[in-house]
Amino acid sequence: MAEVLLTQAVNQAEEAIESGNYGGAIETCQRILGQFPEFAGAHRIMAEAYAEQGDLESAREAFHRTLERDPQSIPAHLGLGMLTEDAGDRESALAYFQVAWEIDPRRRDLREQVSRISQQLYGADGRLYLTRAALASLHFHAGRWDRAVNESAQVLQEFPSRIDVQVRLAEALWRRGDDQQAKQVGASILRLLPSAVVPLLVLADIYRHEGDRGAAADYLKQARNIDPDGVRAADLIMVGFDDQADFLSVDSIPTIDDQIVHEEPARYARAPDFSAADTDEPAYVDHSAEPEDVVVPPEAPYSPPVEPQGVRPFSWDDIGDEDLEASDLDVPADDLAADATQPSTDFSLPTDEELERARPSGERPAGFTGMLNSLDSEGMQPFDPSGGGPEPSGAEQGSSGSAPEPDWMDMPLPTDEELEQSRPKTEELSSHSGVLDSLDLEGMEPFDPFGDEQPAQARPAYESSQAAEVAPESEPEVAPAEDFMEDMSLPSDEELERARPADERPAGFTGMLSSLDSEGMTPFDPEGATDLPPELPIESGDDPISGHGVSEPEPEVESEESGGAIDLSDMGEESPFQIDWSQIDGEIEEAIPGEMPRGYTDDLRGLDDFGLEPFSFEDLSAEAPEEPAGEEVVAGADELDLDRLTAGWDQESDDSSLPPSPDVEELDSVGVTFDEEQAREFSETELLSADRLNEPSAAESGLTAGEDWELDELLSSAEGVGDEWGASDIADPGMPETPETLLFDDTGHELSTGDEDVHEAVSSVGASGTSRVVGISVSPERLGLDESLVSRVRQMKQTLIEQGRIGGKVLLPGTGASIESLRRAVENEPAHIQHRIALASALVQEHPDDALEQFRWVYRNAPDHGVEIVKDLGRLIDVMREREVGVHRLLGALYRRHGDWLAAANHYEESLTSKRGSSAERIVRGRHG
Amino acid sequence: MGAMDDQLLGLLEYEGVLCALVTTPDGLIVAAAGIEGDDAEVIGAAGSTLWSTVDAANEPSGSLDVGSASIHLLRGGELSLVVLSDPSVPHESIIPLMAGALDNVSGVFS
Repeated sequence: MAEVLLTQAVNQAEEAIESGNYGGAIETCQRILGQFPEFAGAHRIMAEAYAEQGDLESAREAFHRTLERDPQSIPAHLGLGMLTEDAGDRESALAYFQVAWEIDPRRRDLREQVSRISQQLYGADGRLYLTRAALASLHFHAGRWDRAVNESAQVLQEFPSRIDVQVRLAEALWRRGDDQQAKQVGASILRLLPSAVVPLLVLADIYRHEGDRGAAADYLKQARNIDPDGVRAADLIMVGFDDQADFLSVDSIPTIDDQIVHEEPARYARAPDFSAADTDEPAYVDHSAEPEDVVVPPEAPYSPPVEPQGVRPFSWDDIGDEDLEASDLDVPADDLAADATQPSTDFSLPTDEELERARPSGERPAGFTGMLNSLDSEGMQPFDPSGGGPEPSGAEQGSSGSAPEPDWMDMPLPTDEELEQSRPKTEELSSHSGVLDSLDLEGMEPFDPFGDEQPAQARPAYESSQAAEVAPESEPEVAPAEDFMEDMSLPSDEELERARPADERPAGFTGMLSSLDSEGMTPFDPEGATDLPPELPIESGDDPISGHGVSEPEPEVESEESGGAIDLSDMGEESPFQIDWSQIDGEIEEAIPGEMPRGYTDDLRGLDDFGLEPFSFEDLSAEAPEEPAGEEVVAGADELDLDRLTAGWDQESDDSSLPPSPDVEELDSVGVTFDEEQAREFSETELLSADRLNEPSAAESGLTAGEDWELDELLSSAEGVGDEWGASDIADPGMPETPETLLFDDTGHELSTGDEDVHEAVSSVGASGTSRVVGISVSPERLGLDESLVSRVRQMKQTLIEQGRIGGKVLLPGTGASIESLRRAVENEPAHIQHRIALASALVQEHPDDALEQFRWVYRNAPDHGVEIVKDLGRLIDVMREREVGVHRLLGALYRRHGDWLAAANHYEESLTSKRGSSAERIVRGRHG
Repeated sequence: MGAMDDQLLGLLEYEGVLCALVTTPDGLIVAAAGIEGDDAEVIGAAGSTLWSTVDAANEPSGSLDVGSASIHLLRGGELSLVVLSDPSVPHESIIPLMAGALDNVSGVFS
């Protein structure tokens, strides 16, 4: 009996996949799973092998088993994405790829997958969008636990079923030391996925922290079953937490018996049974979900699609090609052609006949078939053009004569007359016929144009000949008809009124007048307009309440005498209605619990705060024309305290063309009036919005360099902060405060968006990719950018330099040595380490391959200077993109030389992952054309 | 440490570059180097302010002289790169470097 290390077996399986021996890989995985049936890594490798082998169903099941154990498994999400994309379900594939990328947004291969399929699905709009889940992962990978927790929590508020984000949240909480919350989240995950390895490890470590060794050992034991080689646990170990590393890392790699072969989970044949809950099928994934909503709930076991029995799969031949073009489908024409050769997998729309045949017998057919069947069930006979109906006209004869055999598929539509004749007598006629019949049933009489002179009862209903004879001359637009069925004229108002049930209130003016009548009111009599009801006293104009002149709500008039008459003068300056506004205000307040009053109520109360009194139309009409300019027109006690309202508005503008602002108009509407000057002042003091930042005020108002805007004040006003600064202050040339700084372009010209010269200059400069400046100035202290902050930042950079994390001495382009000069320096002194490093650093952006060669030289010839090039190698990774494998290898060698085995392993893994990822993609793409 | 932080630290390799941040237009800090805590939030807020102005002016970048330092902002699609530098750092020198870094950072999302 041969025993091998588990890691060796895993490597064998992976190498077998690399070499194309997929069967061998599957066999190896089965041996591993024979001893470690929960091993997530083995399930994942076996899934990959199945996928490569072409057994897509088994691959999908194995990937789902992997996700049940490790919801953050990127290979599983990626594999499922490839499988679903291969099956033509691009939306689901995008969801899988999106989740994979959100788990590790740093992975370029994942990003490219999402971008690719997004573009395939959505064209130009298809791109990768930064999601909160991705942002949470970015923060997590950067060690910003608080931000990772916040972002994860916000994602879960919107998508609470995202298991992978729940795991991220649990891990972030655990990282930042929030053990209790991490325990809660972890336990919640384990209720859904009992084999989720990361929550198991997190809980194990938390219980170890708390001294509960038994619980810690239990959780760790469960985690070991899923992660026996400790790869996943190693991901959780952080440098500097030795006790944690000792606890989580495996003591020794387990071995497996090379002879034990895992029994592969039983295959389940496709069957119309959706309740296979007792199987170990992978969890169901909602393919229709949004990209952020891909979940793996364990309670909904996956069931394979069920084909309906007894129904032949639809094919293109069933419906023919004339009704469907290849361009109608989001499938390439080549794919369609290929699909045509595989009728068993065709997915075509059924024809009407097929649908009818497939319909259960008890179900009523839809459409014309259903209508005709229903007519048949009611004892009606099919339409026969040759009999049963009125003699068709010549044109109809011609058309019916040319009609083909009365096959039901080609049956012409019956005419209105035929339908009417074939209708059961008990059925109400449709259209106007039905309306008239219904009126008849209600005892109404047909319309009589001479209805006022001749009672309608004098003639029988539906006398079509008489109706034609008496076609009203007063309604020439209604063509006379020989038959009432052809009389398509609309009933008159009188007819409708007569047809209305007696207990129904008429609509329109008739109804309104009737209702007034029923309430005891009499029609308005202009001659009696001056007769005011004695019960309603005329309020004097000095009443502050009646003086509002507001259109009062409809009063409840109690008098049944002439007092019920509506007097138009009531709507004018004298109101007979007394209203308790304070009570109404109170009712409004009570009706809006917890909310501040809005609209006019606010405006009026704001005026109350200023001591303003309500406006009176009487005051306006009587005194406004005589008021001298510059004084408010409200008389008497209603004096407008504009001095208080405009306190602090010292500046005046000579521009009299300014229109009153909406606020002024709004105040006008509630009775506050301004003269022209006051209105202008008010409009000038309107708070600036952020949009004003875009206005060319500095240029157009003739400001000099020292008269720029105060940016922070504009911002505070835009944000609604109680800043009293207004445009008059900003536009004031005499504004005392001078901004500290101003920016100009290279020619010394102040840049402003309103200056067309600047626009041109900026455009030309922008085309060359050089700098642009925006002409704003600001007081740095007001932005919080004081000297102490800058000092702290300088100190922090110095700390980074002292720690060796950065050099901080590279000269900016244009300010130091050029690449050519550095090349010459290296040629002159090939062994000069600093020259090599400087040249390599300078070459990163423009000549990354050359830079990599220089960095390799430094690695080989200057072992002590490896740390200095690590950061530049990081830059080089991002620059080289697809060719970063070599950089990862060099970084791995550097870290290995310095004893940082974990970092070295990570970089070696990155190099392998990049290589494997691209090769695997090539394989999948190549296999599926 | 993530690739974003590496990019930002790469900017700090240059003399005169004090700190660098990747932010969203509304000031959310995505990554930062050479600055942390409330100071980062202040710079992020200033960057957001500058972003609004630069965006309104339809400009790709902008600089703000704040006395003892300068703030440079480069707009990306969804992210912006904010750099605090010495006042002596020329805008036209730092912006191309920022463009390279932002391109790599934004490449993660586009």
